[in-house]
Amino acid sequence: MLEKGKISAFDFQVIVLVFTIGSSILVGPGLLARFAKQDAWMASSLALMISVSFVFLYIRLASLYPSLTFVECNEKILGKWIGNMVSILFLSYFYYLSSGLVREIGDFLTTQVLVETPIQMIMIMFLLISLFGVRLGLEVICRTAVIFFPWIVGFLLMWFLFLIPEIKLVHIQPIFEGGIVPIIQGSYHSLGLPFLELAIFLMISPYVTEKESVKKAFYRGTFIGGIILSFLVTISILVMGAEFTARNTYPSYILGKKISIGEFVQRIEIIVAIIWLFTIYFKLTICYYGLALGLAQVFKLNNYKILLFPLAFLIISLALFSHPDIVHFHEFLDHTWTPLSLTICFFLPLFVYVIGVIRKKRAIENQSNTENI
Amino acid sequence: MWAIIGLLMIGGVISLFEILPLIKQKNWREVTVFFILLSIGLLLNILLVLRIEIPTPLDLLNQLYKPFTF
Amino acid sequence: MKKKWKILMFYIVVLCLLTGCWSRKELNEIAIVTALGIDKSEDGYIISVQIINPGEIAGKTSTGRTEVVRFTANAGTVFEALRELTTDVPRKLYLAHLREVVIGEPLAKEGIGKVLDFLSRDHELRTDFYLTVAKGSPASEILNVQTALEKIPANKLFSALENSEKNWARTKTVKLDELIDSIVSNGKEPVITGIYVYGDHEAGGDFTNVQNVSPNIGLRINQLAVFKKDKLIGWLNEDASKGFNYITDNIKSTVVNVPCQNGKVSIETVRSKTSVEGKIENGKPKIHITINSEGNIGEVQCEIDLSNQESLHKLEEEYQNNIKDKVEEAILNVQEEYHSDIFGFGEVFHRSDPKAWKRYEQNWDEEFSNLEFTVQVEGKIRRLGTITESFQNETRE
Repeated sequence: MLEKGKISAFDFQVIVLVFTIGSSILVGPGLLARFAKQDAWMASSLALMISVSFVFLYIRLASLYPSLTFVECNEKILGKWIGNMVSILFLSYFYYLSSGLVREIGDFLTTQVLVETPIQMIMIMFLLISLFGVRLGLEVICRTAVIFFPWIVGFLLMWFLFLIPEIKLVHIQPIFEGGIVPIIQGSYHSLGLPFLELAIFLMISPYVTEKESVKKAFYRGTFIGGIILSFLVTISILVMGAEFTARNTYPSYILGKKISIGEFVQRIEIIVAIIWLFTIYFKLTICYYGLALGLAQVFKLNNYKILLFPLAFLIISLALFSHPDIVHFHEFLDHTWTPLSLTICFFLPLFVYVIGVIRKKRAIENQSNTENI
Repeated sequence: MWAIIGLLMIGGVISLFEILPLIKQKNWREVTVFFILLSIGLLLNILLVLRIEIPTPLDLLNQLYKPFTF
Repeated sequence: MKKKWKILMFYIVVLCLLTGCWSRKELNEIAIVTALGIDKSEDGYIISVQIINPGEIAGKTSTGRTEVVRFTANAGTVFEALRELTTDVPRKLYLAHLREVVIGEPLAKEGIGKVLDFLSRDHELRTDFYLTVAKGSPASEILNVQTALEKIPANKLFSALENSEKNWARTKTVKLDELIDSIVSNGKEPVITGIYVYGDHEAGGDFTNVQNVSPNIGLRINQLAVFKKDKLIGWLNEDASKGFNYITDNIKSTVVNVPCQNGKVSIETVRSKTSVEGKIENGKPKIHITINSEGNIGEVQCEIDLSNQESLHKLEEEYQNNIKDKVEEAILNVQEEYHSDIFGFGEVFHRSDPKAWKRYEQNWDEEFSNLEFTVQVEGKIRRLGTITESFQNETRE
């Protein structure tokens, strides 16, 4: 066993929730409003409902071999070569995701807050903190998430409350203007961001102590996180209108700028940035952790921690050269990310699951056959 | 130039810290994987420092998934 | 020994990470811009900024210098002009506390879309400033006026805009996102409040101006500029401006004068609610406006028996007619002169009947100009103020 840590179902639920909010809190509303206009909130809720089926698949897959991570599962089900190839494919997705998250942090901070700071510096600092967390192990990551969780929720609540006076109901009318197509389009694009990314929890679920409540925790975490996201999308559109939301790169940050309670509570947009930095930190850390753990399991190492520094170099460099500019980044998110996520995080696990079920059945039949003889 | 030396130095220091105990325990598998990954990472970073353009793998993915986007 | 080396290494690494405050800007290194004026020049824009002089505002002793300073620059784009100002301004401009953007009338006539791009793109700018159009004089001149009572002219404008919208209802505050929203939308056109310099134009920048009890020059906001897309096409008069605010449900409080016998009665509107409905009747779009207005008597200048409910009802009728007239006048005026749907009737149809809207969207301006409408006003006068009968009945024989 590479990871000796054990986490409770509640820890798991919190980390799933935080992961779901993750980076979508900043880029989600803009992406959805671009496709579904004022019906974006419906698109978001639809995406949430569809995503329950993904979680269902992940839970089924995890319950095939409850004590094995996805990478170990692959090897057990598909054999050494194919299994490891599938694992590498899976891990390279999360390698890109980690670097994409680092890039997103860098882009956001250099556009909105620290304009003159070199992006490399921000990325290195952030990744170092993340590395620190991963080095300390799964238990520490989850406990930290539990500690920060009330802050995230508190800030979110405060933020939503302060925005209530700015709401204009006319912004979400007319409902269903473009019919069902734009809504489906919008929800299709928010599937990849963030719901399919939850596949990384296949690497973590074996370490939850309470096997029975894992299911519930997984569903609950995803659901609450998704609801917060839908709520956020709705409120962005209610306050700013679909056009303005779609045109902004970081709508929720602008939303923070709009808060002004009696000329007294204002200019607190950095709170939004704080929520976001918390959530994306945990998302990055989980991805980084899953990546290192998976890689160590593929290569049969007995310590994943030594991989962290080399991986940090790899993540930083990919974050820098993967996208020459921000337009490329957004185009990639809009067009390629969802189908890519569907292949890696849906069809791949589905494939593994189907083969796994067949194999298990056969094993049982063989067993009973031998017993009969 | 300095940046490259700095990078290599950081790489060296990290390997010193990470690898010495492993060599003592004769965990050769770990050492190999560590060095392969570290050298790829350092190489990429040095290329970036030298401003040599690395073709992005995502363009390939973009091409691959073009028929599936809507 | 080895452990000490490790600790030393640790400190060095930490020191490298704690450089902090990478691009800090201290308060004495930045120039806080409170108002931004944008005018058209031959090949670009003339930008004028009003910068506050913090020492003069916050300091206990004043040195006799002005509280605000105005600088101007001329360049091809807004952004370039702002950077060019560094040749003149000793500090880096800081735009996050911007309160007021004044746009010159000639520029507004040509189109403000290009200017707005910078305002919404730059990271320092927020969306909580108000936009106004300078009427009759360039925007740079507006920023060149010292105002009495309020030390920072931009603040004066900011509060005056808010107060007059709330209590006078002939102006409207417009923020950036709302403006862009209505420029982009097909069913709604923007309006922006106008602002002009009154008095002796020469005296504007003169500091002694504010030492007079009655200043020689000042800034006044009034009237609404009608836009079509991003181009200014005309001005609404005061009554129509008020009508506009009635239609867009933007009345918080206002004063309505109604005739009575041989004088006037002023009624203070304390509550007003407008609902606009769009319907397609006989294949033609039609608008129904319903206004519910509640008022108190604010001033009586005639001999009227207020103890009598009959006379109160008469006043109510006049009150309703007054509002109705203004609303109708506003719509007719805009329909005939400007053909620009500033009331957002198109949006009303868009919301209520998206399918029909698709048909009208393309030539909505034309549809709007021939749009039929009905106005229904329900006015109620609830209270009489602190006295009941006017004593004027007694003063006259």
